Parts: sequence; C-alpha cells; structure tokens
Amino acid sequence: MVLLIQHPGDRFASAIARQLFLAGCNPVIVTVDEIMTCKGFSLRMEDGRYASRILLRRGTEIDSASVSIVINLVQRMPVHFIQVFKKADAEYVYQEWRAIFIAWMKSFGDKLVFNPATPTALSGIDYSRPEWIQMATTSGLPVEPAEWDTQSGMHTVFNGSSQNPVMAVSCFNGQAYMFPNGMKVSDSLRDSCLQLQALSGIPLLTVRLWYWNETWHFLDAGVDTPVVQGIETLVQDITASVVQGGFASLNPQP
Amino acid sequence: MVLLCGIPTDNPLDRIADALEEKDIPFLVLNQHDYDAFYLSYRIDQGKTSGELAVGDRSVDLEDITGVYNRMTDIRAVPEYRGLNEDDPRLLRALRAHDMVTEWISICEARVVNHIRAMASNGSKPYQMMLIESFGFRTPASLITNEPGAVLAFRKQYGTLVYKSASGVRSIVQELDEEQLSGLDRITRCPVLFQQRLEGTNIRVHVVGRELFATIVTSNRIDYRYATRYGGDTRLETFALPPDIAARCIAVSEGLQLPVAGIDLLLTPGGDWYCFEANPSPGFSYFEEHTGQPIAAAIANYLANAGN
Repeated sequence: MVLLIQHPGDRFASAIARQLFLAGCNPVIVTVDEIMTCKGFSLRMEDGRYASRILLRRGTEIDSASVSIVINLVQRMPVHFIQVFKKADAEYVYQEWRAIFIAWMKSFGDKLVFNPATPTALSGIDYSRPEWIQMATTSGLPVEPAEWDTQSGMHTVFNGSSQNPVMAVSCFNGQAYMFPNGMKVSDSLRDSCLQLQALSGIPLLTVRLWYWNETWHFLDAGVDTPVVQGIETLVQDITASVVQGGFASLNPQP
Repeated sequence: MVLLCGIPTDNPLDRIADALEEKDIPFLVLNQHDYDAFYLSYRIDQGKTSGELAVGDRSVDLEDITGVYNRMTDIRAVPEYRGLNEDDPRLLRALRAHDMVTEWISICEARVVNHIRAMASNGSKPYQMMLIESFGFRTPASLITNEPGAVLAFRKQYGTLVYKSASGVRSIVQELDEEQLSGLDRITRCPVLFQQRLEGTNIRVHVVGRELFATIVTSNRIDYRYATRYGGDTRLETFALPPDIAARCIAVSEGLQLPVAGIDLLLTPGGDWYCFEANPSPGFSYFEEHTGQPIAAAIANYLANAGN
C-alpha cells in the first residue's frame, strides 16, 4: 500500500495521487483531518517494533504492516475540529494529536520517503531564517547580507522590488526542477540548490531565488512545491521513484 | 562571557549564576521580565556572523560569548506580558526580541544549553522514545490509542498500566486503576499514551557534556516529581552507574544533541535497564540540593568552555 497523507484540497498531492493511479499504484489517500477524527487509532511500541492500525470513519483501515511507502505532505494540524472541546482541553487535544502524529510518522521508519515529521515541523525541519542563510551560503548560493536588531527587526541589503523575477527550484532525489517551466540556470546554481537540499535533510525541498544585480540570489526555502505548468515532470519522477523504489530517503536528525 | 537567558529567580538559572560568580566567569543575564532592557544586533555576511549584545550598561561582542544557557519560557507566561492584547506594543516588542534572540542562538558558535530544536524532541514522548531506543536503551511497552478494547487487551498482556500525555502537556504519570477503567470510554475523544508499569529503582542521570551525575530516587509515588503533592515522599542519594549504562547515557545526550540532559532510568529487580525519557531542560537544582552533586558548577564550566 502506498499511503499519501495530505491536507484537503492540496493540488500538489492531487497531482501525485493522479499519477500514482495512472501507474497502477492505487494509493490510499488520507487527509490529516480524517486521522484526527478517526474511529480507531492504535500505535504499539514494543522492544523497538512499531505497529499501527487506524480505522477511518469511512471504513478504510490503514494497517502499518501492509504499508510499503508513506508520502507525508502534512504541514500543520487542523484546528477546526478541536473547537468542540472546552478551551483548556482544546489546547491539550491539539498538542496531543500533534505529538502522536509525529510519532506515527516516525514509526514508519524508512517507509516514509518524504517528508519526515519532526517535533518542530510536521513536514521537514523548521529552520530559522539565519540558519537558512548560513546553509545557503555554505551551499554556494549568492546570499545578500542580512541584519537583525531588536529595535527594528530584520533587514537585507537589497535594492530590488517586487518586480524582480523569482524562480523556484524544487529538489528531489538528486534532480532539480525549475519553475516557471523552461527556466535555465547554470550548472553551478543548480548544484548549489541540490547541495542546500542535501544539507537541509529535507527530501523534497523548494528553493526560491530572486534575480537582481544580474545574479540569482537566495530568497528562501521550504516544503511548499509550486503547482504550476511544468510540475508534471517532477510528479512523474516522484511516481517513478515510488514505483521502482529507486531512491534513498533521508531521515533528518532532530 | 556566558549568557544566561530566562527568569533570574528560576532555581537552575540562579544556581548557575552563583557557580559562574564563584569561578569568576563573567556573565550576562537576559531577563525575560524586561525585554526592553537589552539590545541585540547582528549581521550575517558571506557566512560570517558579527554583532553585539547590550544589557543595561554592559555590552559584549557576540563572538566573545562562549556559552548560552537557555531557560526562556513562553513570554505570555511571564507576569509583565501575561494577559496583554496580541497587538499591545509591549508584547509585540517583546515577541520580536524573543524571536530574534532565539534565532541568533540557533546559529551562534557558542556552546548552547540547549538548542531549541533539540529540546523539541521531548514534545513528543513516543517520538523521543524511538530515538532513545536507537542508542541501546529499552523503553516500556507502550500503546497510544483511543480504543478502550485495545487498552484492555494491552492490560491483559502487560498487567498494570500507567498513562500519561504524549506531548508533555499535563504530564503526570498515573496508574490506570479501577476507577479510571470505569471511565475508559473517554479516550475515544483523544488517544492516550499507556505504558506497562515497571517495578524497580528510579535513577535520574544528569549529563553535562561528558560528565555524569546519577541519583537513585526512592519514592512511594509513581511519579516521584509530584510525590509531595499527592501525600508521598521521596529520598535521593548519589549512585554509581555501571560503565556501559553511563556510555549509553552519553550516547543519548550526544545523539539527541542535548549536552545537558536529565535522563530518567529504571533498573528492574532482574537487572534490566529501561529509559523513560531525556529531559532537555532538567530542573537539576532539586537533585543538587539533596545530594550535593556539583551539577551547576559542571554546567558553568561547560558554558565557559572549560573542563570537558
């Protein structure tokens, strides 16, 4: 079973699911909302062995023993369903479900191919802005100087505007995919983006760059993948990896 | 220079301040009671970080800070900021300063006790247990479930159970007794973490770098931390860990990237060692008061980059 966990209405997840169906994988698609309102949830942890079983309200059962691959696209725990609880209990339930979801994802081990859930980020790792800047610099990406002070906040040395071109480079399994579709970048810039992805420990990472002073500069990075023209190639490659099992999943340290 | 961040009257922070004074190690305190009393500025350029921190009339270059002890709590729990509206300028300034300090700590080259991301592993206890197991410790058999039937089956297999929160919120360990069993249906509203109740000797190990301070805890309550609250009592004594267990504790500390950690162990009558959790911000002062172990001094040395 290929298990795809997503937010309702996630277009990127839908694109992956569609491709998986076309490839004959028949993924089981579950929203995080369904997990949190399930009829039955059990995760057993015994001497290093983990087994889970979830019974959704629509009758679907997810038994960890029959799951071969997990694709996690969850970035936050939904809050709307906890409004039925009293305020103090709602916060408790929210924190409990968050902790449980993280552990459930961890229990799949190497079956979870992207993105791992950690206590600071349900998809990937929640790096601070200074950390991203440091890693981008280490990866060889041009990064403008940035300054912080407690009186006025953060500022960068940037003379551009919102009109400056922005490009997204999604990195997965050693490949880089540029958006908008058809954008060309130098090999060194592409390699720097892939290095940043490897350094971050996040299997599916999108690096955003902006163009000024005749150079592409690092803007930011994250787990949101742009759903634009040209996304099909990335989605097809993800599907091929899932079908063939020909990739290495990364498990970042906490 | 060592930087202490938090509430000055917080016992552990206060003890470390005393230890630093005794050793003549200069330090600054970022006092959460007043975020307007300090000024932090820094710049990252070509991968190099530079800047300064001013507290009152003292200032220090950031690269002169050798150690940071982070005991900061949620701003909204600090009396001066509790209850302020979310758009109150005082709260907004404090939040900005707090976030900026936190972000700087994430990249500073000083020894940090402890990095926030590392501390977060304790925010999901079952997640942390899985990590701890990878370092060679056994953990209690556990079940997270919202199904009463699953709990009864687990209880039949493992006997007496205890339960606690998975997240650390409202985390007091309690036994699943007959009264609780009669209300088991309540778990259908939210899964609960159940564990086999283990009998044995509780041992708390404080790891500071590569130094260890082990304490044997004898209590007549399941959760000795709250013994007196529930009419129980607790006795603490220094304990000598077997070398292989000591090595495992250091492996846990290093693997979880917690140079200072409070590791909770249990030794069964049969000689099996179990680990319950690694506390990333241990309230070591309680143990130091009762045993005389120089934990604060060890942390002060670590922060000053001296000793280990």
